[in-house]
Amino acid sequence: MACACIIVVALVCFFPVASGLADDAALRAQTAQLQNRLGKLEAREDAKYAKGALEQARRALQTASGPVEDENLVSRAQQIARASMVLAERQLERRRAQADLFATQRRLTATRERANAQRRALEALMRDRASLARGGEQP
Amino acid sequence: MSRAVLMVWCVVGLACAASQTTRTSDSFFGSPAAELAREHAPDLYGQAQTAWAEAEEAQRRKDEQAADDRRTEARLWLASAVAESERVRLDLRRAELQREEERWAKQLARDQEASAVVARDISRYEAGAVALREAERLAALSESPTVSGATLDAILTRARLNLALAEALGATEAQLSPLREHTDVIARQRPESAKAVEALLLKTEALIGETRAQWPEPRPGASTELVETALVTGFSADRAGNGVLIRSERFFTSGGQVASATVKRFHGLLAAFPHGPVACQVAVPELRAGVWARRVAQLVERLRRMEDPGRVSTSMVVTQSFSAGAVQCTFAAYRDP
Repeated sequence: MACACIIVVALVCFFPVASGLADDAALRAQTAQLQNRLGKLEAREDAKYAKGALEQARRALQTASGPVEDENLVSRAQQIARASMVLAERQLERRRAQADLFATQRRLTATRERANAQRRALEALMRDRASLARGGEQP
Repeated sequence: MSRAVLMVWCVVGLACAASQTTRTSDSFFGSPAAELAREHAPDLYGQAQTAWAEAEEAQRRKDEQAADDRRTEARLWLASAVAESERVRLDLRRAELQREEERWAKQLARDQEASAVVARDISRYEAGAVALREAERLAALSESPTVSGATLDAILTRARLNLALAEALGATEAQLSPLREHTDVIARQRPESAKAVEALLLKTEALIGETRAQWPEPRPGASTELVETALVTGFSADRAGNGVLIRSERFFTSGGQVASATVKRFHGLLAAFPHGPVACQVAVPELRAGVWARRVAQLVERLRRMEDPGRVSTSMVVTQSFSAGAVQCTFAAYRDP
């Protein structure tokens, strides 16, 4: 009977500890995933164009990877890191879209100029043809 | 009393704090950029709102650290939403420009194609004009007593080409040799007399006609040869179902006289392509016009001055398709099979 009581007490004490350890491990795994994602972002050639957001993510992950005394604090730091990395990704995408737009604008300008030049050439050719048709035999 | 004042201050202070929070939230989510972000990036905007609500909740719990963290997170999500909405709008603008670029590119392609067609027409007009000038120069030989060195060279080249063609068509060595020798003599002596030079040219052209005439009907490909010869002698030519159509607006001078040079060129063409009847139509403004009746009568008389005067028949036709005085002749025997 006494043994049974001891086992019950031990189990009651053990489960919260085990649960806490599991939560710690989960938080650390998430932090590791976020660090991996940050590493990939920082390795991008265009990473310098999202420097601020990446720096904020790095700082947040430093906080998140410290000792897990306050799970809420770690969780919030992870959320800030997530939001910072999403911001970095969107900034880089926006920059890519901007570069594409500029390239399209340049192409459009070049195509329009070529088309206008070709139209002028065609008009000149048509004038020449009309003049030749008036002056000589029809081919 | 002092307690009451303190309570009033507390209430006023709380009201101000609540008002401040509301104002901050309004200015945070109420900007034009945020409005666009809500439209183009609703998911990120939603996350920003959730984080902001959590910040307010933390603020109510007096958890300053959590409130600050949630506000930072909300700002980051909203900044992401704004960046995303800008990207979406940039991509929309790019797509719009691409459509415009495609429209210009299509116009460019159409104009390039049209330019190529017009350039080909111009080349044909120019080639036709050159051929016409050359043919008229040769046809006008007899009108000048002497011949220039350049014209003599052109005639010698033409005579040699004619002899080569006659040989290809089957002329015998007995027919070719005298003319070759004659050509060599003229090339050596370079006479100034136009008559001798013209005689050589006419003889070579007549030989081609004789050679062709030995066949009972035009040989395969003769219609193409007729078109090409007509073009290089300054006529316009087309193949049609009823034969080859030869056309010229130069049978009459601007004064209404029959143009000798053109008639001579046409006689050369008739001689070189001896098969079948040739029906000519002269475009006139109206059939009862006496002036045109006289002009056409003169043309008929000039066209009949050839070996077979009955080969060419001439009539008048009222048409808007050609200018008055234009002549179109159909070589009926030169039909494509």
